[in-house]
Amino acid sequence: MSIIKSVDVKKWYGDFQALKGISMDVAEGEVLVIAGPSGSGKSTFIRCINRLEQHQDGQIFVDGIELTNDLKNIEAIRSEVGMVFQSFNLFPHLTVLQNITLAPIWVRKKSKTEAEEKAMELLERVGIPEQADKFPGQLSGGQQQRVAIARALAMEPKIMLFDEPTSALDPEMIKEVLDVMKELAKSGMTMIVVTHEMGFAKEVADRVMLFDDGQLVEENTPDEFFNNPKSDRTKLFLSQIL
Amino acid sequence: MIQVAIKTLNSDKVIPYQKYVTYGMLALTAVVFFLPVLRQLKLLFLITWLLVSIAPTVANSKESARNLSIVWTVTVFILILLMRGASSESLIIVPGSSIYGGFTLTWLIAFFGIAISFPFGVVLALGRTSKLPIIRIICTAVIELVRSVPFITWLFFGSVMLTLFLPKGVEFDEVLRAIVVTAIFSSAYLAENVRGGLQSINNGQFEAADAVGLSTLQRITLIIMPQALRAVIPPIVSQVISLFKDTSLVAIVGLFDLLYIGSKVIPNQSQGANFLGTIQENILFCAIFYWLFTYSFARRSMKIEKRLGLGER
Repeated sequence: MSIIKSVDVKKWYGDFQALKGISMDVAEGEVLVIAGPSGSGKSTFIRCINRLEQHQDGQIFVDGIELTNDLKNIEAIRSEVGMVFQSFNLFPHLTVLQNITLAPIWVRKKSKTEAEEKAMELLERVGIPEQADKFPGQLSGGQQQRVAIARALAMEPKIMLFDEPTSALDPEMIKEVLDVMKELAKSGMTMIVVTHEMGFAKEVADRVMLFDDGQLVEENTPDEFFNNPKSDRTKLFLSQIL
Repeated sequence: MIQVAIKTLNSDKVIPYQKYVTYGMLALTAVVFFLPVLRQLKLLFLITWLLVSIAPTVANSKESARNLSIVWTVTVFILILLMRGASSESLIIVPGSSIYGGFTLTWLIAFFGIAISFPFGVVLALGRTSKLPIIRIICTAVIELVRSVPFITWLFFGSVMLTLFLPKGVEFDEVLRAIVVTAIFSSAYLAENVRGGLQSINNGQFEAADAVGLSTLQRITLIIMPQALRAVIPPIVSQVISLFKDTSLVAIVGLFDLLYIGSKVIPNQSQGANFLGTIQENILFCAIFYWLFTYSFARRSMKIEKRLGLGER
């Protein structure tokens, strides 16, 4: 049973067609890595899954609910889909703890103590419980991104979307974020990860996809993807980044 | 006691017994007011208490800020009460029907003008940045209309023209009208300041708020507004200072504010005491009085900015 299903999804920015008919599905508990050159539409696609971008043609189903203009559906889907951004997008006026507890308190209507307990648990999990009372601006990039992951997890999502989570980080900090993501993947979370970290893809992905020019060029197991790619475009892509 | 007040004003940190000094002064002032002593002495106590009570505005502590708000709220009511009593047989004869005159009037118009304009300004700013065309057009029209006409014209409109549009017999208090006009005028400027703050917010903040499932209202009140308002503290304080001083314009529609009483009323009186020709001294006093307040606003805003960590995101 697939938890995310997209059928022939198309999107335009003015005259420019960013997505040229993407059809795919993701099974529950699967870790999917999407690779591809910049401007290939991979970020646009995962942003369509929680409606940060609106697709103009085709259908997207998340956990059986179709994404339409119905605000109720959008809110329902957003509360089940966690998202981690390239630029972290933490709330700078709130402490780390407040960043994490905000949505559980206001959207899930949890009590403050309950939300804070859960938040401390998550901070423990991402390895920075001692930073709970600091503001995002006082943390390093890697720490901020781990807080962002904890913030997304606090809503107890069924699916996690990662939009180039390590692209804005210093090389030394990439590992600490990837470690958290690996741990998350092993815990059985459904994940879609847009990334250039091919090491991560090799190690934890169940499937790897290559996007190019708004199209899904290749879809394969990591083993096959890296060692025996089907399309020439994948070969070219791999030769450039490896 | 004035020395204590000045000492408190000069010190950078709030002195530990500030709270008790303030409460003590409040009690003393109240007692003195009901004793048959010289009116000058009563006023001296009142002014000293004012000085003591504004001292926390230049102090840097959360507790003092909380006490301050309580003290100021109490001040409003007590000032009105005392001024009511004192104006009945004052040394200074204030013409006009309104019981409010002098600093009470200046203060009333400035305080309520700003307080009322705040929510309206925020709503207008949100309306102007709204995606819905009707709301956007209405808010933009209101802001531009209010801004394009001078404050004095609006005051005239409020005091002279408004009665023409209202049904016969319906009349508002002159002071109330001045407050409403001030609030409307101020909210248009405030809206533009807040809009500047809204535009400074990174798009990622909207996306992150959406992604964690916040509703539109929660997104605005919990994420966007706190950041937008924090970003525009300096222009807002600037506006508050400017509005505080602009209240002296209400003299034009026949209200007797601090400056008008100082520059026109007192120098022409010789009842009770001989104040004839004291215009220079009075204007100097008014200037210092205005400075004292505007400077404490400015100091306060600096402290708030520091506490909210402006510029260290």
